[in-house]
Amino acid sequence: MHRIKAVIVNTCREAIRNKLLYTVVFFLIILLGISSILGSFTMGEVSRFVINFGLAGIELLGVTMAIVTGTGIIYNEIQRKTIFTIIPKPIKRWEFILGKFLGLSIALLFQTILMLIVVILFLFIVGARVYPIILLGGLFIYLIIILTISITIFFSTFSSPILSGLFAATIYFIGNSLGELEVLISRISLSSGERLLIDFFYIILPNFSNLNIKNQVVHNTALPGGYALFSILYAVAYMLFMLLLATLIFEKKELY
Amino acid sequence: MIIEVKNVEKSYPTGHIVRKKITALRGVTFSVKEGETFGLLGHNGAGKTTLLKLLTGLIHPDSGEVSIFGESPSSLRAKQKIGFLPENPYFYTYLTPREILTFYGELFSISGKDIQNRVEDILKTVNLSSWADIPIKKFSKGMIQRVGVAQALINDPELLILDEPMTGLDPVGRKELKEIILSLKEHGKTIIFSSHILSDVEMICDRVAILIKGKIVEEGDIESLTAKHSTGYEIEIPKKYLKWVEQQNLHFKHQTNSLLLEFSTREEADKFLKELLREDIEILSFCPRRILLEDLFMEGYRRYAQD
Ligand SMILES: Nc1ncnc2c1ncn2[C@@H]1O[C@H](COP(=O)(O)OP(=O)(O)OP(=O)(O)O)[C@@H](O)[C@H]1O
Ligand SMILES: [Mg+2]
Repeated sequence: MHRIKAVIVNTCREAIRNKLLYTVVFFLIILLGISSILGSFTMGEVSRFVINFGLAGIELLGVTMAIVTGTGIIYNEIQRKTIFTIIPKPIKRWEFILGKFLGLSIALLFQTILMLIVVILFLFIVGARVYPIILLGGLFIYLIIILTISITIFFSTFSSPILSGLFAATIYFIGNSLGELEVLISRISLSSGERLLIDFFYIILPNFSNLNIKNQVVHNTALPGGYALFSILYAVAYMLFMLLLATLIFEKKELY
Repeated sequence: MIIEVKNVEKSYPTGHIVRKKITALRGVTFSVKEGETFGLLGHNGAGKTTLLKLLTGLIHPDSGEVSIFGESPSSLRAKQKIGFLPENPYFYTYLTPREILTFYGELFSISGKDIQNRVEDILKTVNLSSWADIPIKKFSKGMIQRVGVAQALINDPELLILDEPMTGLDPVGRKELKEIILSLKEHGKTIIFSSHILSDVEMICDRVAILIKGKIVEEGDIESLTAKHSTGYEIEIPKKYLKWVEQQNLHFKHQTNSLLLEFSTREEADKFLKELLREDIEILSFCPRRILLEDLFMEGYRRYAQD
């Protein structure tokens, strides 16, 4: 799989050269800035705050990068005509999409790990206890990020960067509130038609709230048995489905 | 046959609300044999780029068939043997020629050491060795065109598809590219390229097709195409003899610094040549008419472009 690797390396290199390192530095500066006001709190409060804020920051910056970079991935290649020298080479269109996806995913894995290291070091420095569940928290955030990449790539195969960015961001926000939405909806009575409609959206929208385990990380509470496995499988299945749709669209696309 | 195009039609959708269509190709049929150099001539908007994009699998015909090496243009086996230079090529600007050529080489699954050697050779061929490690965003148009030529050659292709390869190149660059194409031709490669510069086509091609408004209106080898239409001879003399020329019963054309006397047969021209010598009139040149392809092109354009 020489040629997929070539696309992966190239995409990853572009993402890293462009802005990835700035994001990490930006994160570090904010974290340091905030630490200067933490002096008057108890150790428990500080640790909770750093974990909460740190993980939220990793997720937000990761998702932002996923959307900002992901929207351009296919569209810009066509718009800037760089694709005209790539597709005529012996690479399948689905390989190109997969390479793009993996390249960006690896770049953002790099970013997520760097930021997680920053957070962990920070916890060590302020003297808070670090529990291994924070790694699981990092993994779940990474799942959210690559799920977002796949959704963004899907949209970018047929719409402009601004639109696909909007779509992907909207889906991210709705997906995040699906958990709360469910609680809300369970309190009102619905006709069977309404119920069906809601179930439909429930199935097609990605359930990001399943992947949000920040609370458990902060309080170091164990996840219910099988929960992690189920969530990971769910995320991977959803991601594969998005990539499949993206390739089906891209396969037929006229490149001019 | 290396390339076979049968009855291909292609249109582009336009308009967002009201869907309209721009027809780019209207039933194009032609084929290219192994080792042939085929020129695709056409005015702006004739459909040259559309046709070449169909050959590379970037777009698909609305109807009709396209096959390359007997396979679909999207098949990897066909693509493995093709080098394609798009019109005004664009590259990842953050990469250097060495990096981008290595990337393209990897798409052909050429590995490690071989790529490096190949890239080195190609950079030399297109005269970019001293720019090999400078990001492409700092390149001029002609230099980018050279990168384009280089990437089309990276896999030592059997078939080269070049969309207006001469654009953006200075006279030196053009000459170099012509030499590259001629040497590829000597090595038995099949080449198809588009152009609206007639002299380029005349100099390099075995066979041409003239594309006008999405239709091939003439096709064949240059000699037989031009022989089919009237040929002739031209004598060029300085402008100062205008008075004298006007007294003769002659066809002639004004040029910026000279007069062009036109003859339809060699005998007539010879006869008049003697006359000129007798009158001690200075002769600037005497040659068979060389603008025939251009005439053909213009004639085709006049005939078919109206409807
Ligand atoms: N992306 C596009 N969308 C809509 N119409 C297009 C598009 N590309 C080309 N066309 C139309 O298709 C026709 C053929 O265009 P094409 O680019 O193939 O011409 P060409 O012979 O390459 O011209 P040129 O010499 O200017 O490069 C033109 O009428 C053009 O308007
Ligand atoms: Mg063109």
